Amino acid sequence: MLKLFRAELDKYLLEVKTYYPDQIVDMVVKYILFATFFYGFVYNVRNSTAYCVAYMYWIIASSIISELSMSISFEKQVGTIEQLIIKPYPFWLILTVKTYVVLLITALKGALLFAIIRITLPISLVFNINLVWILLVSVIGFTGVGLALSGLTMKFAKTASFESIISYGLLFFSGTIIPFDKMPMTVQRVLNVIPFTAGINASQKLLDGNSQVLYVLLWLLLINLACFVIGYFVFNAFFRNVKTNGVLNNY
Amino acid sequence: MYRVSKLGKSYRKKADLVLKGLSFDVHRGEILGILGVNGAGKTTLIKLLLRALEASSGKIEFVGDDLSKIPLRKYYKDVSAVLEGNRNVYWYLTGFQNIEYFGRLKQLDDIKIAEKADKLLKTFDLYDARNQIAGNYSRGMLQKLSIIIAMLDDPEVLFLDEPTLGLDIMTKKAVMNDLKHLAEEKKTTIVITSHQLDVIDAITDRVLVLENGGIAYIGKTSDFKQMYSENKYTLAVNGTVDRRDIAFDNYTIEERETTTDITLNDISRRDINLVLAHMLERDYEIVAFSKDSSRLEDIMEVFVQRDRSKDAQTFQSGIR
Repeated sequence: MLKLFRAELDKYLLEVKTYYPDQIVDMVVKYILFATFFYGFVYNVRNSTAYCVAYMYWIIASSIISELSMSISFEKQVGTIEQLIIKPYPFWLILTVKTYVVLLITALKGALLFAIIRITLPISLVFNINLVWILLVSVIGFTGVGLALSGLTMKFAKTASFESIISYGLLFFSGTIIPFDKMPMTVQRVLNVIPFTAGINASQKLLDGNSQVLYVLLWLLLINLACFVIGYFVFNAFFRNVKTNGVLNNY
Repeated sequence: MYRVSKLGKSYRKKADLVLKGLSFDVHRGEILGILGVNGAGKTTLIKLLLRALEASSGKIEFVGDDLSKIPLRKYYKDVSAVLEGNRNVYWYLTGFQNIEYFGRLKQLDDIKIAEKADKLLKTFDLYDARNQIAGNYSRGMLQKLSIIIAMLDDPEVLFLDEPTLGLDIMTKKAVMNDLKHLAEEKKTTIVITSHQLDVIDAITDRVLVLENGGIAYIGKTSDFKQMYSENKYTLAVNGTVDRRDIAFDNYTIEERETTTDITLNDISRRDINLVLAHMLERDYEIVAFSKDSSRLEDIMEVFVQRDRSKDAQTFQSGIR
């Protein structure tokens, strides 16, 4: 497992080095988005930390979800996907480790982004270690969604538009634009069982001091594990399908 | 090594079968060549043996076990493959970085990767280019790099789909020697497809010829050449030849700058000896002499044309 992680980490760092302008553009875009929403919707935000947590969730969730399917799309495009599936590590595990490597770099970029935000914008942030546990548990669920979407990409090659819907949908429901408590009650109930929004909601309640950490974490663990298991089975169903129909290499 | 029984493959439920009920064995340490015209199903067959594709019917056994029940993490420690085209490496990584990445995915230690990489890079004359970006490699260099990666962990089975495409003569010879060495010394089983029939001819022990989704021939390469030989001989004689001195009727003659080529068609062994004796008696200098069965390429041409003429006959009878 360590070999796989090192292989993917070294490869991704070389990729970042080779295509570094992409990374800069990505950070600039995320800074502009943050600043726009922060000023544009500042009256809807209960406190800066809650707003930043929601934004961070969106960055991480969209990064995991899009990275998993973009990896497949890229491997299909350059033709290396078959070399990856004939390796002793399961294909889904290679993709997941690949994604966590990207997540690690994204988290570092996120930290840098928030450092820049603190310096350049009038914002005050409160740090609570329990937010980290909630985020880590939420990553399990994001991975499930990412796996399901990458299964779809294996079959249909290009799913960029679909990814955009998910990514911007997540942004809308992240509470960055409209706080949860201002959404209709039915929507709030549904959002409470979706790992992404449940994580943000739990984080905000925790910041407000009206939630029990253990109970919240157990509930989140349950829905995130369920999401991961569903994603894993969807991915494998698509994997079997492409191996039967011989479309793994199609792009 | 492999026992294939009634293997069938179609890509869509109602579509024609690409492979129809193939049954054959692959022996440990042999080099098996898969031949056939474009679209015959060579790559499909390799991918089925690799489990990169799922079979529609039939069974494949690997060392006595049902391949579909062997855990992939175990199976892929034993097999490697170079797949068709430049689809085996990342262009933004250097040659060595590619080797290191794929070596780690094969669960090899960095020290072993470095040792083997050094040796193979030197063998394949790629050592000086190891730190260059693979995107700057020529097609031949990319092919060499793919073969190095496939050979890195001394696999028990090596699948090679057109491995010598784009290689220069020297590298092609080096690859051929290495493959023979792998099969003979390390008992690596090699399954290879190639349109370069000189490669198949030089290294394979047996060939499997695919035709219309079935097996048209499987057996020793030498027997295949003998079976489809048209008993055609070619003589190259210094200077010009008086046609009356050729003691056979069915021949064609082609005069070149300093020599004359005579092709004797469908001639028995007894008659060819007579023709040769007759010419030597008349003091002709024979500078080259060959039979069509000496080259697999000629034999495949006969084989494919036999198939086409059969198709043409079927078509004609269909019109009538």
